[in-house]
Amino acid sequence: MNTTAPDNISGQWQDVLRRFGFVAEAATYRCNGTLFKIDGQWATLELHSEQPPRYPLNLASSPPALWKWVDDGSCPRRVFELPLTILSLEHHDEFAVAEQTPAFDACLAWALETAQTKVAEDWQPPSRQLVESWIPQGQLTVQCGAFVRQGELIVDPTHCLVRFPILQTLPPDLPQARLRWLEELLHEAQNGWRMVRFGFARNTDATPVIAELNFTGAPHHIIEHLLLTGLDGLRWAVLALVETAELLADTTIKSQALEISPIPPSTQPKEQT
Amino acid sequence: MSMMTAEAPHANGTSRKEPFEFDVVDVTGMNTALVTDVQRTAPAGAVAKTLAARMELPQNVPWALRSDETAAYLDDSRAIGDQIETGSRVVLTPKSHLGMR
Repeated sequence: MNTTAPDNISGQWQDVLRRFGFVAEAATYRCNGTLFKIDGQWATLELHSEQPPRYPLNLASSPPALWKWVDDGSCPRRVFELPLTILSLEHHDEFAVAEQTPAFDACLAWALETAQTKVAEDWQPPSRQLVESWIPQGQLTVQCGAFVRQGELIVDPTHCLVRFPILQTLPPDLPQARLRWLEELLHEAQNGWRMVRFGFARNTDATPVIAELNFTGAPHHIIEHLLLTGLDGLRWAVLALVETAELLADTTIKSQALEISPIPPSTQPKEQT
Repeated sequence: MSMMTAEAPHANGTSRKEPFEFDVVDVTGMNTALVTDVQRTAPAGAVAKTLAARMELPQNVPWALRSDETAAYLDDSRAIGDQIETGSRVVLTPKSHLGMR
């Protein structure tokens, strides 16, 4: 095993990684099946050791925070991605009594804690008013040609997230092949868009298709920067998907191409949304 | 931890999950549509722009919505569901200031 320290990770961050139990391996750091690596402007934690859920697009069973399942053909894994700009943040709060934990340390602790699908018991979300004050006016609205989507901020004692509907309802008579195409669209988006999670959220009267950014458990001193960076990506993702998703869900539009399922029947997930 | 969250009722007391639909007619009366896919929480200004695109009206004109019942213009920045009830009828109108100085 090559234990040479990766040269794209700063010495300070390597010290922190070692303190959390990570060991250098090739261009990455590893700790009990969790891999840390830097890829361009992003830092990624990956979990390869778990069995993927039968239906990864079911948001109701998704883990907290930014963890999400991706499967780009190499191997299905859970990932937690953060931009390096967030990890390099220097926080100076003149009113803080104690010194703030550096952003890298705090984010690593957040990711590792939530990897166990739990949030620190003493974590409290920032106040809703404060989070709302961070969001520039109009940034929760995405207008895309003939469609408009309004994002929703959810802040309660155990959640802090922003979500946008991609589709508000899923027609009950949507043909299976169309549903598969829709799932394929979401899988591709899940693999491609950093931090944003896509999937189906069950509710009582419909099955909306959703894109969300989940900051649950995040260290308070990085949430504002994370929200603004993430919201920008989330808006672009919604903008990119809405028209295609609407087309796929519109049963009045006939297309022979869309009557053919994009995945072979043997690999299709069993569970329906 | 469950990801399911209880949604707060909307400002006008209705649930965000209750169906919300309204009729829209353009100012000429030539185009009409039943709108069923707009969220209550969407700002009226963005909804007006969306409906103008849907009715293939010019996109280089600012559009506003006017309540057919009260004749009042809807506030662009406020949620449409706070300003009209489900089943209402609104008129899509270009914002113009004609001849006034």
